[in-house]
Amino acid sequence: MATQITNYQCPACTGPLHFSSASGKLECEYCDKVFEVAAIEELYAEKDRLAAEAQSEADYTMEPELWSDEEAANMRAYSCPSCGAELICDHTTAATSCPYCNNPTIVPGQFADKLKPDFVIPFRLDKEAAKKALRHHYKGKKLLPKSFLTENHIEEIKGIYVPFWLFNGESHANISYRGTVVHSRRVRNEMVTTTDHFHIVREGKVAFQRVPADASTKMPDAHMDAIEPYDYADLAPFSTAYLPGYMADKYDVEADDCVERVDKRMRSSTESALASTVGAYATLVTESSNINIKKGDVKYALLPVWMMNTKWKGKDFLFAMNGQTGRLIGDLPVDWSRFWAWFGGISLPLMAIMAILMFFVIGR
Amino acid sequence: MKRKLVLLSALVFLTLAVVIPIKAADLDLVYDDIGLLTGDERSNLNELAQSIADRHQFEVSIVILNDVDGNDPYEYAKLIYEEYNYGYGDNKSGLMLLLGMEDRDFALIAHGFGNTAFTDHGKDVLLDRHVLPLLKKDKYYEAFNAYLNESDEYLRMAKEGKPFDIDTDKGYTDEEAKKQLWTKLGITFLVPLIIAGLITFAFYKQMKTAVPQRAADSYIPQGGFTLIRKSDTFLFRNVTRRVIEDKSSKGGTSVDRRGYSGKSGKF
Repeated sequence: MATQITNYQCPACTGPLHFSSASGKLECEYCDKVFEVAAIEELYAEKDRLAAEAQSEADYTMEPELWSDEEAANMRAYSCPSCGAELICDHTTAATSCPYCNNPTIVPGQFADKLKPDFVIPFRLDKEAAKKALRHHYKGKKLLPKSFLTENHIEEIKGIYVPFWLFNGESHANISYRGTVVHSRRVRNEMVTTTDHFHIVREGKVAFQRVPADASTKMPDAHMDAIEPYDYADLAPFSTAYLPGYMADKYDVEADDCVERVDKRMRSSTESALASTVGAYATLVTESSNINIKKGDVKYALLPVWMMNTKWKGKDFLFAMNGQTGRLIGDLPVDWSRFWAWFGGISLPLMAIMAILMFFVIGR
Repeated sequence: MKRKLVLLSALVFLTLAVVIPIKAADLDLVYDDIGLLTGDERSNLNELAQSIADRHQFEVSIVILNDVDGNDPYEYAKLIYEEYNYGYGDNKSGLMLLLGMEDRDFALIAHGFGNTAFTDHGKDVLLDRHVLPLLKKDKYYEAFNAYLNESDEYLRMAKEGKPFDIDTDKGYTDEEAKKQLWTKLGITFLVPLIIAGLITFAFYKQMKTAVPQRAADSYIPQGGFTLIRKSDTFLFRNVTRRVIEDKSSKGGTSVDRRGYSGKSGKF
């Protein structure tokens, strides 16, 4: 069951190569040599061709492993090309590090044929930037328990290329509303209110380009949504050369399963776009809404995310940072005694001020 | 001597006729055109009205008709007041309650000293607290009795220099004071609680940042929105009218150009 996997090695010293988010190139931390992504890709394509030729001449076969069917369905075993150790991974793992020699390793088979991503956005921010962003995330949070700052420790920090589906589409909408315009004027001792009722119709088209939906069950949807948007100007054709040094998963949620979520977002934006063209009515009620989404093509992309885990009082806290823009999100614990202290601290002095105003200033 | 006495008596009579203004109306102070009251009831009420007129030099009258002949009850009451010579003395001081029973119309008008004794607030209270509730229950004799007795009290207060008005209406001032106190307490406690709630909720929201996206606005390219049709069609118009209550009123009486004040309505 062990499959051949690849790690990119320095052509000069055979040390492991890492993709540098700063330079956008592959770097060797042993001899400090720097290589263009395209040059290494070309080199390894030639290597793969030679290996394939050699393989055709070999006549040995691997011994079958004795995993149960269920285990076999969810696990994969690979041999580390640096130290030979066997790596047991999840069936969706596409890039990881060897726990023995710590060399970054990618699993090309995960991206073979139709599973190959169309695009990748390379990491622009490194691990230190993620740690700094997390420290900054704690700042200015009035309800954060003090002990959380001192007692919580980052358990794990991982740079992950998360699989996303990018949906193109176009909505066609026909929405009708009932609106009112209200005028009031005083005539002698009467207030005369005139209410004009209108029937409003808006029809329009809205194009959507690359609406993302994360395609990994391991990644919480809310976290992945909240770190949007990505700057698609950095979208590059996929190459495994961007993966060394980071983890990567292949998708395990089909594009069809994300359609409902994406449609809902497109519908909501379409409704807002049409409503923004309706003038200033005093009241506006939607009478009917007919929105059809014309589905376009779907692309498969790996987008960079830093995931951080902290533990506090036995509870896990998960933070995600957009590896390109640096937007960091994650729920924090709430100190309810602080909450009520703030509530009382604001309301009680205000009550005293209002009492003085009401009973001694205005009321006199 | 006998002749002298006759002359003296005639002189006294003539003097009294000139010096003491007498009831000059062509109708009774309590005039019932449709027999709504019994003879005794009408007689009792007339006695009471006459007693008020004698004590206060002021006519408090009741006119009960079948209808107001298609007129505005307030205007019709003024017509009757002038046509049948109601009102005491030169300035025609008086208060009249007119009823048109067919459509259950009423009008209350004051003239002369009536505009001093029966302020706008006073007339409202007289009708709303004492007369209309009984009229609505068809308790006419009780309603007219209450009307005459309360009017007597209003006149007494006016003669003492303190006409019944907002500032002398204990029930009204107590109720207003209570209302004001509750409003002030409400503002004092509720406004700070709402402000503190909004601020602390904003703090709470800062702690919860992992929220799903509801829209896809960021993925609409420039020029990606095309409006195909836009129509706003007028359907119909509603007009509502609301009488504005003058809350700044500190009392007093609104008198029209002909020297009357009052109000009308249905019971």
